Amino acid sequence: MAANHPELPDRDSVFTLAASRRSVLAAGGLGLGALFLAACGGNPSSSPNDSKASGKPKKGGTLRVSISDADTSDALDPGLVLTANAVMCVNSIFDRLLNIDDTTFQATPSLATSWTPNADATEWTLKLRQGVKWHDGSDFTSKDVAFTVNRWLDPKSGSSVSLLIAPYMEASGVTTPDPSTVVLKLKKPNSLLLESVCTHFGSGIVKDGTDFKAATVAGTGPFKLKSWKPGQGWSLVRNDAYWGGAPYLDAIEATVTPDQGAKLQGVLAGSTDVTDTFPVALWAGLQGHDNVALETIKGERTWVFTFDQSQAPFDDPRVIEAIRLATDRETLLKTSFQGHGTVVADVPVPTDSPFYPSGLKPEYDLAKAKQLLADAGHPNGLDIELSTSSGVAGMSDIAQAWQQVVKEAGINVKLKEYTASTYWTKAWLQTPAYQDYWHNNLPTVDFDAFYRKGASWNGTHHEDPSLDALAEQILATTDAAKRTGLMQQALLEARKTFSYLMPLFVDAGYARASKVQGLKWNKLGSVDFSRAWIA
Amino acid sequence: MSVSTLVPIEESQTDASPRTVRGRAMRARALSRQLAMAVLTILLISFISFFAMNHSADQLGKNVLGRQATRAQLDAFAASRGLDRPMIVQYLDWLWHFVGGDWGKNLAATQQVKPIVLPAFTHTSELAVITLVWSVPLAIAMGVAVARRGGPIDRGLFVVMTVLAALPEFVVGLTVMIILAVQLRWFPVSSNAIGQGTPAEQVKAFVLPSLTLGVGVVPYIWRITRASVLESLSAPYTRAAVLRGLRRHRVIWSHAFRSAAVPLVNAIAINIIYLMGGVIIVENVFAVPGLGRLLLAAIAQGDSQTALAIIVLLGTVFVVLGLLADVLVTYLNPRLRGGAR
Repeated sequence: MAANHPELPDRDSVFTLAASRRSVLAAGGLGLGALFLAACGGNPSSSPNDSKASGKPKKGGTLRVSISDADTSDALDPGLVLTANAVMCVNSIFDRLLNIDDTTFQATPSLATSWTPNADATEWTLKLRQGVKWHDGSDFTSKDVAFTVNRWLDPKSGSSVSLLIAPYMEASGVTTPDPSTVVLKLKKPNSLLLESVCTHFGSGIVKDGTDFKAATVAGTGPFKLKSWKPGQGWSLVRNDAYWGGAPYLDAIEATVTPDQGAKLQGVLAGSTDVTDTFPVALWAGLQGHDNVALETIKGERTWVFTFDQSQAPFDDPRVIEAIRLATDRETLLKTSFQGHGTVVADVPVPTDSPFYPSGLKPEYDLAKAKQLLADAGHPNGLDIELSTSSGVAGMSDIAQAWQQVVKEAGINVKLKEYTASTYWTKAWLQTPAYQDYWHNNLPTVDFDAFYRKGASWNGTHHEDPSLDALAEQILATTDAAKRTGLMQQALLEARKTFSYLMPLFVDAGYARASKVQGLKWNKLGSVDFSRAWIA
Repeated sequence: MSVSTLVPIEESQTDASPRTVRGRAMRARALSRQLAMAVLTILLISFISFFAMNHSADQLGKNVLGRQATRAQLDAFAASRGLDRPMIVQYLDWLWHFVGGDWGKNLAATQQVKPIVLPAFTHTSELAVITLVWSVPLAIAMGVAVARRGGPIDRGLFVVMTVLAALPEFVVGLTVMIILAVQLRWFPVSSNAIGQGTPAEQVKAFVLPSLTLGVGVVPYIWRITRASVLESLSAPYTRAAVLRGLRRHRVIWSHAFRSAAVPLVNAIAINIIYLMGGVIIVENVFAVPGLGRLLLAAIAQGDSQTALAIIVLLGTVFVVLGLLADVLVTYLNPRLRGGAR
C-alpha cells in the first residue's frame, strides 16, 4: 500500500518492494523450478505445521537465513529500505519509538515509554526510555529522535516515512526540552500520528549524525551489525546490553539466494533455518517434511482494482456496483491463490480487524449485476481495459482469474500488459482501470493516501466531503473507543462512494526449520528475531 | 568472430611478409585500425546504453525511493544525481570521470561502483577459467577421438551431446544441485562462499556452477572439433603425410588438428565471451556473486553508472580476446601471416 510501504513492483515476498529486474528469470525459473521440485520434492501432504514445540528457550546458536528479495543497492538507512533483505537487517539493528500490534494497531512502549497528546491532538509529548545505549556505547537521547524526525521530513533524504508525517508537521515542529523528552507540534490534528509512523518499517530511530556506513552504523536494537555485503548477505551478533533483554541467539547470518527453487532446496537440505517469503506455487514443496515448517502470514496484503470515476463508464455508480456484484470472490481466491487468504467486501482491512464494519458481507449476485448494467445503458455487457503487469508477483494471477470470473455477467476484461518498471510510472494512476496492492494499515493512513481530497494516489478521482469530514474527525479524536466506531463508519462511507474493488486479502508464507522457535513475523512485515531460539 | 576479417583482403595479398619493415608497418597499421574500431564500438554502445537508461529521471527516482516517492523527493533525487542536466552533458561527465578512474556511485548512492564491479568481475572470470580448464580439453579429446574412430560410439555420443546442449541451464543446474548438494550433500547448495569463505569452502562453491556451465560448453566445442578434424583428416595433405610415413599421432596432432584448430579458436573465444557476460541464470540459481546478476540488476534499475562500467569492462575483455584469437589463428594458419601467396 503506497502510503506505508515504498513498494516497487514484483517480489514474491512480504514486501514486494524492489524493481523486478529478475522478474523474467523469476517467472521462468520459478515456473519450471516449481514443476521440477514438485516432481522431485517430498510428497505434499496436508499435515499440520504448527510444530510449536514447547520447551524452555535455549541460549546460543547461529540462525541461518536465506533471502531472495535483495538488491546490490540495499542500504542500512531505514528510510531507503526496499527489499526484504534490507528490512530484516534494519529491523534487527534499529528500534522504533513504539511497537504496533498488527491487527488492532494499538501501540506499546519501545524507545518511547509514554506518548501524550494535547486536547485537540495537535501536539505530542514523548517521554523516552532511560538507560538505552547505542551499539557504540553512547547514550540514546532526544537529540537522536529529533535527528531522525528531521530526516523523515527532509525531501533530500528520500525517506519513505515522509508521506506519513510531512502533511502534519514541519521540521520546526520538533523540539527537545530535555534529553528524555521530545515534543512534536503539528500543523493539523493527528491523534494517530505515532501509530501511523511506527507501523512503517522505515521508522527505525537512528543516531544523531549517522552516515549509515557498515563500519560505523549503530542502532539500539537487539542485534549489532557484524558485516554487510549488499546483495550478498549480512551478519549480526547479539547485543548483550539490549534494553529489552538480550536475545537468545548468538548471531544471525543471512545469505542472498536469488532463485526461489534453490532457496527451497537449501531449506530441505538443512543448510538454511529461516527464509523470506515464497510464492504460493512452491508451498507444496515445503509440506510433508518433518524438519521444515511452512509458516503463513495471514492477510498480508489486499489486491485492489481501481476505476477512474471521472470518465465513462465508471462515472455511473451502478456500473461500479455491478462490477462488485459480478465478482465471485470465493472462486477468485481459489483460482488465483489456491484459497490462501480471506475474502473481504471492498474495505482495506481484514475481517479480524476491529475496524472491519460489523456485519458487512460481500455480495455475489449475477442477475442483479446484469440488471444494473442494463439500467446504466450497457445491456450488452461492459468492456474494460485493465492495466496489469506480469512482472509484479501475483498481479496477473488475480487479473486473469478476475477476467474469467466476471465474464459471466457480460463484463469483458481486456488485459493491457506493462513491464514491472514502467507499470508504476505509466499505468498506476494514469489509466482508467488498473491494479494495485495495499498492505495492512490504519484506515486513516489509507484515507490520506487514496481517498481524501488532495490524496496523491487517488486513482478514482472521486471526492467525498463526508468521508473527508469523518477522517478529520477521527484524527481529532483522542478517545480510542470512539475512534473505532468512527473508523467503521468511515470505511462504510468510503466503500459506498469510491470505486475501489477489494475482493480479498491474500496470505504470504515462509519456511522455518522445525528447530527454530520464538520467531515473530507479523502482518506489517516486521520480523522479530529478538525472542527466537534454536532447539 | 575473428577481428581479422575486418582487414580488407588486398592487404594480405601484397608482398608484406612480417619479416620486412613494410610488412611490420602494415601489420601495425592494421592492428591500430582494429583497436580504433573496437574503442569506437565500445563508446557507441556506452552512448546508446546511457541514453536508453537515463531518459526518465522520475522513473529512476521511483526505482530507488519507491513508487510512492513525493514530488519533492523526486526533484531532490534528480538534482543530487545531476539528472536535470542535458543528457549529452551527463554522458560526457560520466565519460570524463570514468577514464580518469572515478567510476562513480551507484544510483542509490549507497556505494562506489568500483568496489562492487571489480570483485564481481573477478568471480565471474574465476568461474569462467575453471570451467574452461576442464571442459575444453575434455571436449577436444573426445572430439578428436571419435573423429578418428567413428562408428556406434560416435553416433551415441552425438545423441548424448545434442540432448545435453538442448537442456536449459536451470534444469541442469537444479538437477546437479538436487543430486550433489541435497541428496549426497557433497557440495553446498549455494555458492555464496565465493569471495568470502575459507579457501576450502570457495573451492567447493565453484564445483556445481562450473559443472552446470561445462555441460553447455562441452557439446559445442566437441561438435566443432569433431567436424573440423573430420574435414582435415580427409584432406589431401593428411593423406600425403600418412604416405610420407609419419606416425599416426603426429599426423593427427601436428597436421590435421592444427588446421582444425582455426574454427576451434573462434568457438572457444565465443564461449569465453558467453561465460563472462551471459551466465545470469547459473549465477541466480547458485547465488554466485558475479557480473551477470549485477549487470541485469543495474539495467533493470536504470543504474547507468554500474551498468556502463560493466559494459565497458566486458567490451574491453572482448576486444582483447578478439585480438588474442586473431594472433593465435594467424600463428596456426600461415596463409594469414601475409607471406607471399
